Amino acid sequence: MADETATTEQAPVTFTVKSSTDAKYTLTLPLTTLVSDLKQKLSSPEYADTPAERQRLIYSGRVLKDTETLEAYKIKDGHTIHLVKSAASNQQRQNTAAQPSSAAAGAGATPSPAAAGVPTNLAAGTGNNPLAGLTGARYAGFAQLPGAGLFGPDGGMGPPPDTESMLNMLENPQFQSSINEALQNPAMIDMMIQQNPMLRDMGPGVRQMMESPEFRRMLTDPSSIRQMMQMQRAMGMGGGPGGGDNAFPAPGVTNTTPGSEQQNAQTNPFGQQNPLGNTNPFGALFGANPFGAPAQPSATPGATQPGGAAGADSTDRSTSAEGQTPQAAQNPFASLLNPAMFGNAGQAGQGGMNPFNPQQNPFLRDPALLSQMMQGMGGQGAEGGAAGANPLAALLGGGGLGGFGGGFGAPQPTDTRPPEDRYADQLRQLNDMGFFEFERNIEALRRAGGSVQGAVEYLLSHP
Amino acid sequence: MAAKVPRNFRLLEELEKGEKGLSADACSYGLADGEDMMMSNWNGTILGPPHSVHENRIYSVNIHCGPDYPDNPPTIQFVSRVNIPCVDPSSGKVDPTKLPTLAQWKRDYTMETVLIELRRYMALPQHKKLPQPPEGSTF
Repeated sequence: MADETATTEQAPVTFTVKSSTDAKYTLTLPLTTLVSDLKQKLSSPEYADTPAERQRLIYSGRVLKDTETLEAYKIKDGHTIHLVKSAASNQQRQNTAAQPSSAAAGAGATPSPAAAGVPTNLAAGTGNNPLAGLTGARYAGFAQLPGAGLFGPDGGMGPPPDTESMLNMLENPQFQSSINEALQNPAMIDMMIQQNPMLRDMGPGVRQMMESPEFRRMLTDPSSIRQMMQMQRAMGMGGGPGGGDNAFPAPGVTNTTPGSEQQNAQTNPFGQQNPLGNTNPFGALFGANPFGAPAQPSATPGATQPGGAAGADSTDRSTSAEGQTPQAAQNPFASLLNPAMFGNAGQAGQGGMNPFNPQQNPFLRDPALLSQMMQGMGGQGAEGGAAGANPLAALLGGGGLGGFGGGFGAPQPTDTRPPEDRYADQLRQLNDMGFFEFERNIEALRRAGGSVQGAVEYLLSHP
Repeated sequence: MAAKVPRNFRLLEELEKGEKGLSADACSYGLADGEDMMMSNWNGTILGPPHSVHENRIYSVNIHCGPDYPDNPPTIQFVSRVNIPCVDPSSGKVDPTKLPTLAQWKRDYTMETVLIELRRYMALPQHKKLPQPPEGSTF
């Protein structure tokens, strides 16, 4: 608004350059500085360390042109210029020649090809963690990240994700391919393993498992998941709260219906035959139910017919499951637990379909490893809620985010503070954004699991 | 929300927020003409949301805040060509009936709200893969 007078021309201005990585640089420059000179200055390691031709500067809704001076844009003391780095990461500097150098032309018409092996849907070059970029504020609330709703009410603090939405998600080929891609990326697997002490402790077997095509198929096959849902229902433990009580939830403890299962787990002589001894990792298996999916009884004639799994009387499980024969007959667990686990005669009924056939899956050939895995999964149960009842569900939910850490992540302590304390920061931000209705803000934050962006979305979509 | 913030107070507030960069990183806005005492015409930019065809693009929009702003929504017109359903393909005008923020305008909403909403709109699964005109072309 000020008229350009000689005095303003002389006086340098102090302004802030805010980069998209949240870094801030304060510069003091005379108003006669050309934008290109400013970019040159910013390209030094002291500041953004980004080549000038890859910088785009935005001020007050305008892209700054290299040939203009700061004065032309009326930049004043204390103002902020946004610095956006075009495309690519540090690893891709060699590609920068392809980028248009003029900011006005809006550099980066085509994103540079991603570095080999890094899925293009991951933010590349953000350090060891390919997901780091996703947690940045600039990514908040965009559609690629599943909305809070995907994790169920309260952003996953409550019950597990809605099975329907999960199925829908899985039927989306894009989602499938992104999970596949993620799992194909060794860095991604490394990260998943590193992020979870339990997985880390399990050694190389985990990696092997993650890399196995069967595991991937299991993660991405909607029918597997559907099977799992059915099974969960059949077992009467669809996300039951009991799952959260114990790292090794004894199934059915809080549930009278499948009492025989409890027997299996605790008193059945089967326990002694169990090659894994008395620790009963299958308790965790039942509670956590992570591997129910791939049994795919419908595709496995032996499992769907009474003569198959339930009728596989050579197996200890089915004898104990007699009390619920009708269930067991359709119960993929029966087939999973017997033949797949123990590799005994019942296996014949499975055909080659079962990804957990020990012969196909090295992971299952090693019972110790399996039990460790189960512990990992069971430990997850202690977290209660979404992850607790069904780690795989959480994994899948997290998968949409690319955040497999979500599924396998270490249990987090429950925050019992009142929401207004817990979300104090977020509430302040919402207020800054112009949302003043306290009750609604709390509600929105609660639903969004504390994500401001999610809360805003909720507030806007529920006027 | 007892007292209604008058138009120019509100716009000055937004101006300051835009200039000082207090708003979200993904968008920016400022007065088109610093001399304009009515503060009607604004420039806005939207950084294309990541993981979409819009990634790494910068979209410029013109925002016009009428005399009845913020009681009524501002009108938005894209300067940069963009292919999304809420934008008129010939004029670049944003159809207020197609953007929830504009359709259900509230006094509390700001230009930032609209820009963020537009950006979110671009990132919707059904919009993020739409073929886009070459970058740099304008309406």
